[in-house]
Amino acid sequence: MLEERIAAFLRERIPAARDVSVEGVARIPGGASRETWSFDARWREDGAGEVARSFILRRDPPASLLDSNNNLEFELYSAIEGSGIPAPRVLWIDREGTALDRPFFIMERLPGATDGRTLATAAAFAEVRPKVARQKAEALARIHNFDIARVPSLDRPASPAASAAHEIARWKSTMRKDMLEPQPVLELAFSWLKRHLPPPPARLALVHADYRTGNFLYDASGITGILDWEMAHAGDPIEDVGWVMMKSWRWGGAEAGGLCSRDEFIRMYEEAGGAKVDRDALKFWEVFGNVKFAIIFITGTRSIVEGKTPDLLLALTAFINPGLELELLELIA
Amino acid sequence: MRPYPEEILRALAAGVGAHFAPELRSDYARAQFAFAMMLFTIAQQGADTAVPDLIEENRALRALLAEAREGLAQVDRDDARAGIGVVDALPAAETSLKLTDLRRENDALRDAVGKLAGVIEPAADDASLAPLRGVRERLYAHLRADAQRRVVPILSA
Repeated sequence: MLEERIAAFLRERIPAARDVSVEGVARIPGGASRETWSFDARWREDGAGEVARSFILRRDPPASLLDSNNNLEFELYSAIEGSGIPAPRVLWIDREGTALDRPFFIMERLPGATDGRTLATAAAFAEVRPKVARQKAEALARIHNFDIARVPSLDRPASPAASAAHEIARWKSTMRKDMLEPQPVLELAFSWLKRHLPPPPARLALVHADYRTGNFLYDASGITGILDWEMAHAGDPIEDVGWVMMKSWRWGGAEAGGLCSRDEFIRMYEEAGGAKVDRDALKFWEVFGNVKFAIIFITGTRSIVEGKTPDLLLALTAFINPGLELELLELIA
Repeated sequence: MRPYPEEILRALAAGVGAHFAPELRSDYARAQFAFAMMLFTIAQQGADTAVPDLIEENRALRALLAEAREGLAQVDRDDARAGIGVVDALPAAETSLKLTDLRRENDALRDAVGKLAGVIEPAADDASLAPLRGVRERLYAHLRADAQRRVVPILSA
């Protein structure tokens, strides 16, 4: 039973804990790059009496949409603790995967929900939406001002000027490796990207690389935590702003992640200390974002076709690509 | 013979829904079940017209590539000459009506379009590639129509 195996892991990691019990282990739907499990634990500790806490466990899947790195995500969460970037506190990691068959880490469970469509369109969130939009812009500025030297294993280009070319090379190589059929629209988009490289950023920034509505927790008080850092790297901060603006993340709402207008988000981001947003660079990163998103699904398609995973989400996401191709053809026409 | 494959898929979806759905206990299992139901629907779409659709798609792509070749012949650049080689190397039009054969032909044609991306995409604003502007426009329109045909409405709602 997973409960007992998690309890055994906690006993090992919290030597002072006695009578450790784990309950309510449940896999959270979504999260196609890493398995996400929720559970509650109780134990007794001398001096503290009975302790009851709620946790999230992130485990490597057998195969995923991304070739991502558990260590990096743990290192990042650890590094940003206390930086003012809202994020859950990470607690323990099993790098070898001995306790639960595959590598995983455990972090605290924060309050809130992630559902983007509800936040972007539900009347119940109409009042909190502007506040979330502002917090989202401010948190992004904080992420981009974070000292990347504190995360040594972060992938980084040779120089700020190489940021865009570095990302293009990374995703083109992933496409070549994983595509099961020719991708003419993506080839056209890669040609466009190569001809429209943005001006280099002033310096390399921490790029979240999946900064979308749906990847942060929110409740009536606003954003409670930024999640899903598995694609984070050092690079051009405008990459994240471009990702925010993608049509895929509007959820039927406004242009900037379903929360506010494009201009409003950029104004709040810049006022919070974010990088100056060059509009041509923004378009470059928006095109790039659509290309990258389509390639992520190409990787998922290979995993499902080759039987590496039974996760049906990966089969379904393949059918999102025609919509991304339409968006790309519109952007690069 | 009845049931036809599409009828089997419909029966499978209905049977799985009736027998398994009530037994699902977790949100995760229910989400996977919903994905399965959507995939049953997607698998049935376009099955009946797959062969004529591919024949038409391949005919249209072949015509666009032939037009691209004419444009490339008017461009004095190495990449244009390489592009002519790509078009000339295409396999002959498929005469088989088997899906696997038509898909293989489609892959070869789409691969050729991809290989020409570096000369077709910049044609709109590169004067040296001006002879390719017309075919660029028609190719983009074709790719848009093709993507639109493959859009799954339940995923773009």
